[in-house]
Amino acid sequence: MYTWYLGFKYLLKRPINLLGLFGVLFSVWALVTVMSVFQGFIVEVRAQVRGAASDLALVGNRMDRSYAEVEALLRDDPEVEAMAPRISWFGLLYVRGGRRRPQYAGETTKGIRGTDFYRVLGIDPGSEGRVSAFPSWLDRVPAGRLRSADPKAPFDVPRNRLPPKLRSEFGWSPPGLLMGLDRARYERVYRTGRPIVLASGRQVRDGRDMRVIPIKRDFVLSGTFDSGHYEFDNNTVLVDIEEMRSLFGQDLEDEGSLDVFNEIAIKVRDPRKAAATAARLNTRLRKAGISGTVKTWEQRRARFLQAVRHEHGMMKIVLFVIVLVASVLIYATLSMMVSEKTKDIGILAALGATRRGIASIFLACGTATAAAGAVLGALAGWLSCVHIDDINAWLRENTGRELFPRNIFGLDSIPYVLDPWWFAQVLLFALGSAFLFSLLPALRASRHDPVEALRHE
Amino acid sequence: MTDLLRAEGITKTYRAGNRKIPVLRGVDLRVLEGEILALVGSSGAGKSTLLHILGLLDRPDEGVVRYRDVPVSRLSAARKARVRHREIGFVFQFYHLIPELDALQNVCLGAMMLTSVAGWLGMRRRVKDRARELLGRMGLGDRLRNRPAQLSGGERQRVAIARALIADPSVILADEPTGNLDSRTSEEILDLIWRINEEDGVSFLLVTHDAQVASRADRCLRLADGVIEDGTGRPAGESARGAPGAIPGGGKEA
Ligand SMILES: Nc1ncnc2c1ncn2[C@@H]1O[C@H](COP(=O)(O)OP(=O)(O)OP(=O)(O)O)[C@@H](O)[C@H]1O
Ligand SMILES: [Mg+2]
Repeated sequence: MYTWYLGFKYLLKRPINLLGLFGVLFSVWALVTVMSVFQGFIVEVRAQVRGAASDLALVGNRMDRSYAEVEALLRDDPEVEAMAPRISWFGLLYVRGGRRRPQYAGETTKGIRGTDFYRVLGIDPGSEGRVSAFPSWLDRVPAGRLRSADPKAPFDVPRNRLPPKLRSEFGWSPPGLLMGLDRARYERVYRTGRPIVLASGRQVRDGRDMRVIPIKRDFVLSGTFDSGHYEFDNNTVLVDIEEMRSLFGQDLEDEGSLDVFNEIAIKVRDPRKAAATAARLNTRLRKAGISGTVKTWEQRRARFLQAVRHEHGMMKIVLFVIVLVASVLIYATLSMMVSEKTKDIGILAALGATRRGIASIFLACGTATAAAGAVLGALAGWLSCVHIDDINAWLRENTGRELFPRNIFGLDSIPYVLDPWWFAQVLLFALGSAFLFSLLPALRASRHDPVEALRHE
Repeated sequence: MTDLLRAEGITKTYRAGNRKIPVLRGVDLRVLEGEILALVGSSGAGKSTLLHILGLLDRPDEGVVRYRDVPVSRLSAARKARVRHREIGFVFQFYHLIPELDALQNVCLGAMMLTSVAGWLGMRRRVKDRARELLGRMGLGDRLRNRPAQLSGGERQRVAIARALIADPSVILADEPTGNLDSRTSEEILDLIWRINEEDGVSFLLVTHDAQVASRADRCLRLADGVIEDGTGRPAGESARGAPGAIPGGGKEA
């Protein structure tokens, strides 16, 4: 009994012990809050990536096969539910007209504005909807002059929306192009029908040499899309796969043209078996001599997911080290206390305390400090997670800074995951490390010779 | 009266570097039930050392301490602590109270040493009442909530005595309990000790430099050159109250 009694009395009567308590409190607070929010981001980002990606994808095809042929080959697999061909390429976009935003000298010629490097993804609007949530990507558009594209014909632009110069006599209009919503805002292409030029190139074999053939094609903006995955939305423009095919010399009108592709998005029946399905499809492809590999969405985004996970792990280590530092604070205050309390140790021994009992007093002291700090810290962490948006708003209003770059991820609120297991882990760690760090001064206390302590005043 | 505490052939040698300092060289001594035994000796004679050994705080190099014929100095550390708590009380020259606790808490602490938390909750009331009563007997009924720093030396020593009494020991080892007090306060404390001895039948082993105190005790022993000699000037076997005799110098008959 006296161990707890004295442990607490010492704690209460000695404000210096608050140092350790606050140390643990703040470190646990930081650990809990940062990791909960980080976990929230990971979950959110994973969901974003997942939402924009199909279950499986055949990537790296050399565009030398007919899609119909490959589709027939893969469709047999019982796990394959749907497929859609894609051509993924890269290019620069130029926007004609519009407000100019000079970026660097000599960048623009009159009325033409260069923008960035994009991934140009040719999709088949008919089948794309079966492998991804593509039709729903078109729903969200800002009020104003941007029209939401028609899911059935997303690349068509009504004649009356076209600039007069492009309204040709024969009913032909330039092909449409879908840009990510945020990106369209950023690039200030606010109007459906805005002309956009794609410039790129492709390699062709010319005898033994490789030759680069420049590609240039006029598009008009037919709408915007929002898949929810900010990185995908910001770097990708969607066009009709037939346009891409024609850019690669496979014009639909030509005799003997091939319905080429370099990616196939695949939806499977059971996503949990995706890896096994991918392996099966790969053997089938190899047997048929078709280039490219089928990968799961996680394999395709492995680097990105790994980077996030890596960062998460590093952050964890850093924060755990901070908890250790807080334990060192407890160690320091306890050591001080043991030195000051040698006389009390002698007294207690004279009253009938055992060495173990004396050690327990200081252990109780240290662990109780840590326990109070950890529980308060966890509570503070929990509260600050629940109210994270309010805190963020308050910071924005009063300091002009934000805690987390919410906008980058296109999130309405800061995500967080309150994982009880994680809380338990942090509490255990804080308690455990405080216990170990208290053990040293406690053992030192118990080894004090009570006679020595009693001899002097 | 029978032996309460008996020391047989206690030796203790300290080492300073490689020089040996023999402090006790075969001390025989006994404390009878219900007596007040005075122990005198020049400074550095080893009185405190002997007291610590008798109180099981220190271990002798040789010899044995018996409590009611049980060789307690050979028990395990935990059992020694138990004996110390149950049977032996300490009072020191410098009071040695816990500064964080008030008078009442300091006294109660003496009763907490062996109980579990649950056990304490069960007996808390009783112990507190007893502590209040003891402090009342010490004349401190109205200073229960004062911390040691707010008490005078005499008052602190009274708290220390109450603390030694709370566990109902059969012997109290007092190391110069009045060494730090003026003569009037000393007198009060000594009266208190004699009263407790009378009312509760607790034995006292009183280390003192005061010849008057020594002569007032039932018996008086002198520690010199590491052995006990009868130092009262009174013949061995005779005491102030006519209790059976002290052990003659270096007494071998124990
Ligand atoms: N740890 C130690 N190491 C070396 N010598 C020691 C140690 N402890 C005590 N001594 C020596 O033992 C001797 C006896 O000390 P002790 O305190 O028992 O004397 P005392 O009779 O109580 O003296 P006083 O009347 O001044 O209190 C002293 O000479 C002291 O210097
Ligand atoms: Mg002494």
